[in-house]
Amino acid sequence: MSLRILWIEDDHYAIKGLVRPLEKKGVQIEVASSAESGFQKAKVWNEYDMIIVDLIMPLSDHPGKIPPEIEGWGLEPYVGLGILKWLFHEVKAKCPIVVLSVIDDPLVGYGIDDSLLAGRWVKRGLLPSKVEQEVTRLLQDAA
Amino acid sequence: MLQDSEEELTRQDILTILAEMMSAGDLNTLLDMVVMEVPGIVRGSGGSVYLVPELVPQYGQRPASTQYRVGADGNSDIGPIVVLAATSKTALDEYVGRAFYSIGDGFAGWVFANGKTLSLRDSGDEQESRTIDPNLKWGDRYGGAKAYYADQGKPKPLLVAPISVSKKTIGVLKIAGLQRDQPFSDDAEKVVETIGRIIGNMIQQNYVMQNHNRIQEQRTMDFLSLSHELNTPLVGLIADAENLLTNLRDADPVLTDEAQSILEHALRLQLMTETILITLSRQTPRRMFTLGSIAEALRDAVQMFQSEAKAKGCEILLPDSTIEAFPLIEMSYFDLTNAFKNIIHNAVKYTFTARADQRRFIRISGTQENPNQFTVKIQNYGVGIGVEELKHGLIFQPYYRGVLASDHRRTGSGLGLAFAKQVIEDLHHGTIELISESQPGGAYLTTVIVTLPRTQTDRREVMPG
Repeated sequence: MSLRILWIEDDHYAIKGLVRPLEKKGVQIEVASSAESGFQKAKVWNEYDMIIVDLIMPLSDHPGKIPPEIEGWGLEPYVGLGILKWLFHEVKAKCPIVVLSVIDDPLVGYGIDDSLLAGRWVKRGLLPSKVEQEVTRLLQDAA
Repeated sequence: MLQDSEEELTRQDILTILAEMMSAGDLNTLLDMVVMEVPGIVRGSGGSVYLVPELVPQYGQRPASTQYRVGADGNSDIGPIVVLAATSKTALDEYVGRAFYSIGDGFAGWVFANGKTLSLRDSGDEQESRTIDPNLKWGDRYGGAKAYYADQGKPKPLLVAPISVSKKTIGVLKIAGLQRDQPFSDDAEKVVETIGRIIGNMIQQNYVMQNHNRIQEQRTMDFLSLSHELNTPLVGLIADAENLLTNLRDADPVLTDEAQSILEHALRLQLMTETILITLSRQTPRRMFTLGSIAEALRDAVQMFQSEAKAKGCEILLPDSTIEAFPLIEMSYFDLTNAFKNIIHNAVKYTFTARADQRRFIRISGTQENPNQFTVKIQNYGVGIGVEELKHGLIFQPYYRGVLASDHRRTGSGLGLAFAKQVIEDLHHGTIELISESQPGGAYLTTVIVTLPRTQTDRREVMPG
């Protein structure tokens, strides 16, 4: 069965090249382009081999009411922090979780223990070959 | 000097700041100092600075962030209260049109000149609310009480001075005298008024600082948005460029070469963007630190400019035999590599092009002069930097371009060394210096010396590598 990665990223269309080598190897990349969409998909986190989370994104990309469970995420300095806290502390997701963002701040200042993350990748200057290398390494470590 | 004091303070701002200053003990410390210095002035019962808050319609309501106490036992927590007396009716009338009075020991109350409800509480813990006569003035009798502070039924003089911010009276300062029925001296009055002015200035300064911090925070968020918008298409461009190159590996070498060129230009654009954003933000970014290899950072930096150097007949030399011994150090890898890239780019740019019979070199070396530091030197032969420019650090100022570098219409942003300094010194707590030695024939041997600590001992955000 091929590997499945959930990528919570609102700018996916612009930077989809980052995961092209993985897709060429048969990895299935499922995209969520908002926090709400990520929330819905990551409820079944155990169906994914890895979850990659951006920090800067909108709460929702649909009209209508925001689910009450994620309303508080909009008050975080970055919406992605809400996703991470929910993944770690509420659903207690066990798959590797990686942050892929332009933000390079230590997350401990925002109440997240960096050691819980499987990886922290900075988008600036990132090459697809490096993404492929790191995903392969992390999934081998997790296996 | 902060320039943000033009904006009018709201009363809420003032009260919030004053409450914070009270919590921090600043005002009480000030009072203690004055009481020690001026004979005849002592603290009154309760001994604290009280605030005149915004109109509080009912007893018991108070700003959530503040606590007030009255009475010697400190247990009579009755919310925002104030000064109980004034040196004269005239002075009192200046205090936002309010009159104040108290009854009995441990009691304080207030009257709002516009006739809002008055809350009373006496030492017997009884409490009643009355609507009062809006024309009540200092000295008037109300419910049997006289409008001055009473200690166990005996009048006690108080000194009161206004606390003003931006010409608005927002509080009053009360200090009790020891001698009953004795007036205060003129000196004592002046001292108290001076304290009131000082407190007003402290509030003003606090407000300006808070406003400044708010503006800085907004600038940081604006900068972050800009960085995100610039970086997103760049990330996409770099990713697509590398993918294109990978897909063309076995194709026509001309196509491969062009794809390689696109990737290099995209990475150069990333470097330029990063240099501009960081330097112009004038803020040292917060970064994660990891244990990283200086050798790898230097190799990455050299790789970007090797082709350009070669086109000038120049080669960038890394110390192949010793570079593997370069230590791991705690670093922000992306930023440090970019700092080296800017330095090496300068070296390439300002190296004179070699003639057909010449070879030029940019030499990179590293030494460990003590166990806690590592030093990298990058040396080139070409355009130099003037002594005065080095001596006064001009060369590290944003937009500054050396006089010699600017001749012959050479272009440049003037940001590369400013960026490198910010990353090396502010972010990594290292040092960067330049030496530029004149050589025969008008050239210079320029050496950039970068010294970096191996560990960042004061950082808590160092992640394991």
